[in-house]
Amino acid sequence: MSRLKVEKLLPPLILFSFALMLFYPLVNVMKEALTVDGRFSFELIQELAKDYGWLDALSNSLIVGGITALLATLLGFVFAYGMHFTNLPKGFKWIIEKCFFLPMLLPTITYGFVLIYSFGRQGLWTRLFGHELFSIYGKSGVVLGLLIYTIPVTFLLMNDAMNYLDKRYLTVSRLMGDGILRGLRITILQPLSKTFGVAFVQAFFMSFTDFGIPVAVGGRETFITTLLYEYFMGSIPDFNRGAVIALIMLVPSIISILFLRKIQKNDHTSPGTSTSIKSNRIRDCLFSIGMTIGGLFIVGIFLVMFLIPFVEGWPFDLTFTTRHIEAFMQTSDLRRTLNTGLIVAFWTALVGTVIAYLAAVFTARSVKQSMILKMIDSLASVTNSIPGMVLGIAYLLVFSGTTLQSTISILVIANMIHYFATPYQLAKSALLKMNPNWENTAKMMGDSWFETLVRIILPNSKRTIVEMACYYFTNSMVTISAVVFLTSARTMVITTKIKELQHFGRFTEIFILSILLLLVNLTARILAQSIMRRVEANEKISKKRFDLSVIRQRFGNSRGV
Amino acid sequence: MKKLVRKGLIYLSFVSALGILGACSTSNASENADGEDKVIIYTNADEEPVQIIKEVLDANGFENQYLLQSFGTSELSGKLWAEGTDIEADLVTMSTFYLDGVQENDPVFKELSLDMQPIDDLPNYQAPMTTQEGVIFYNTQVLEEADLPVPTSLADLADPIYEGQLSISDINHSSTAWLLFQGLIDEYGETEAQSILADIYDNAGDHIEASGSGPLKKVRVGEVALGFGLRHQAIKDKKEGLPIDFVEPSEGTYALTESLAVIDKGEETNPLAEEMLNVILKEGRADLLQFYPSKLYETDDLTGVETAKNQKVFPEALTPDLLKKHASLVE
Repeated sequence: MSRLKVEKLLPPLILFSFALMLFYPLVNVMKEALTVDGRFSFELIQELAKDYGWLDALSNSLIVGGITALLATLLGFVFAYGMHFTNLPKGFKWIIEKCFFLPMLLPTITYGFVLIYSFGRQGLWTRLFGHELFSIYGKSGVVLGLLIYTIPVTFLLMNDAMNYLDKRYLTVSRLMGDGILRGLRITILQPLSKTFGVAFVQAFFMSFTDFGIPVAVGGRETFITTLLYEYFMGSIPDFNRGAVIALIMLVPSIISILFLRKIQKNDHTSPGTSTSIKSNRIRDCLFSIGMTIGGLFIVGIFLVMFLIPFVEGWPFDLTFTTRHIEAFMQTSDLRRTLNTGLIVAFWTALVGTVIAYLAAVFTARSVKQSMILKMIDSLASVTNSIPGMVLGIAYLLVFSGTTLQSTISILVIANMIHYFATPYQLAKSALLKMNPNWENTAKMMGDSWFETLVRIILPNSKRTIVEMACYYFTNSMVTISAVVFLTSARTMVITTKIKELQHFGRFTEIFILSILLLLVNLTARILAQSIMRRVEANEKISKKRFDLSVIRQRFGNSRGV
Repeated sequence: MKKLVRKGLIYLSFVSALGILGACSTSNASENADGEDKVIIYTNADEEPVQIIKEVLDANGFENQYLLQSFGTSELSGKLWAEGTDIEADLVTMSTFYLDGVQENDPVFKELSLDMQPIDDLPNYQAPMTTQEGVIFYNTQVLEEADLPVPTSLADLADPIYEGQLSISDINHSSTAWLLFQGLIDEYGETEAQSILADIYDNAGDHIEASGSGPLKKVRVGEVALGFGLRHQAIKDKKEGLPIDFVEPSEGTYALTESLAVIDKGEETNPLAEEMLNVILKEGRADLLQFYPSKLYETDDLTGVETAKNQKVFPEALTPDLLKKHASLVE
């Protein structure tokens, strides 16, 4: 009896979907860039090489990205250092940590508007301080916005890496009589050098490809993303030249990914150790001040978002009102936007997690690494080196006129591909950590591949699955770059609606939508965290039971029970 | 037997997992079915005409039969240009010269049979809806606080005393800026206009807005003292008692019309789209005239509305190419 073997069919299917949804659209962008009047030509590229207008945008993006990445890496390090190497109270650290994570739950386009209403001429803090603290338009505003966007990520990376530091070296270094700087260099900076690289590249990539902040506070400066947007959605679009810009934008992305791959190779982690931190009042005091300022700054910037919807008319009439919220609740198209956003995020989380998990199962747990699996693995890892906007443009070019155009499906697919790499890596590393002999044992017991998956592999990676779904969900809620080209009247999501509302300067609605977005993402996070905690607790209990049963088996007889 | 059942269940759950993909497209199909008969209207219009369109359609039995989506002018033109008849919209409202440009490039719009007679002889696919006029406006409080004189002409905006206090819209994103450009070019010629514009851009600095209504928003909240933008919006603010006043520039008040058009989707053209178009004009013109006081149709009645004193028309026909040429003056 010949049986259909899913495990043989799935990898080619996954690879095929990648080819269709990633490779083909990108090739099409390249084709668009290299054709003039229907024939192959380098004319557009040559023309662009002579016209330096776009270089301004490119250099702006590179400079701003570089400065942001440098500052974000340093600040991320300082804050993470404060978390690990001070004797500040746990509660304080917990609150500060939550403050730093706040921006991750909001789209970057909101940061821009929040900056205007915090530090603009009529902004909250400008009014409180009585004068403009600095100009939020142009490069300075963009850098500030991007810092808020990237610090949570660099902080997270540093914080995580510090968990793996062998802190006993600190004691050794202290005993050896090293000075503060030398001690810091040997015990912390050197072991973290890779993390510095990763954090810098990550922050640079995020800043370089962000669209939301430059579009809100860029002022008269052009950036590569705003230029790209203009080519595709400007008054007189030029897809061919836009495609060339898109290709150029891919270059730094690819370089950064190659760099990451190089430094992450052979990266093995051993569990860190803890040691008591030397008490030092001055150090703790300085860090508590620095971290409070950092935390308050972030919260302070976003504060205005919760104020404006509740006043009659900012800035001249500050009486409290719920009028705007009530009006908002009655607007059907804003509600529809929220619904669509939720539907898109839900399906992205569901389908994305299933596919990323399956792909990881094949690449992480197959004994034989066939060509197909190797290709899946490398495609899965490059997805995050493709800027969302380039992906969106590629889809716009390929799927216009097809049944996919203006559907929820295309948004789901775009998000799924755009964010694929992280959930895939999460799953892969979790699956690699599992005992490699489970499949064989199960096979010997007569279980099919699928039964093994359901009975053994899945139950042992529940936590990771929840984490993957949560990552997909929150990112789909806040993304704008890929979907901005793909939404339609029927499929507007919250972020693209915010972009639209910007045209009418309707900031009250923008902030209401942002608050809703924040609430949705916060709920998703809390839900995911409580599920993970429960799973963990179960695992602990079953582990305890297991340990106990082993102990009983070993020692039971001797006790004569 | 038990094992078989269990196996069956496992496979069933697997199939349903795969079915997610299918389900995804179904959820999407149902979404489409829900909106299938609805007329999709894409518009670049401001809040006021959008409100009028909604009210008129709802009052005339079209409630829940349409979906109205707003865009910035440049985004909508980009979509029209790029997607042609594949565009999701059935009915669009857009700057007339853009419609002309798009239609010239590739016929996208359907021939209309209008219930009303436009005063001008126009191509048969466009039905003019509004006239946009440009003025200089200012925040009376902020201007006084900054001790600045009220400008009287477009050229005055180039005066360095207004540096950092002026907001205008970006010609690459919004056709409102074109009203400023037209006035300058028509009055002073291209070369001089170019240098005046350079100074105006310097004064505006970071307050160059992507949307036509952007400058007024900035002036309203006091972010800057003065701006150039749409006349009707300034009048509305002034009437509402906000500290806003306006000046019709001495170069004249130039205008752009915006029109309605139906996308020609062949057999799939939604017949309701043209019906809605006629209803919007027939029932909505009187209200629209309150905001955009210019005669477009024989039946338009201008009594009681305040028209601009020195209405002017740019001598050359407005086309996307001309816009591109004018836009290049500031690059």
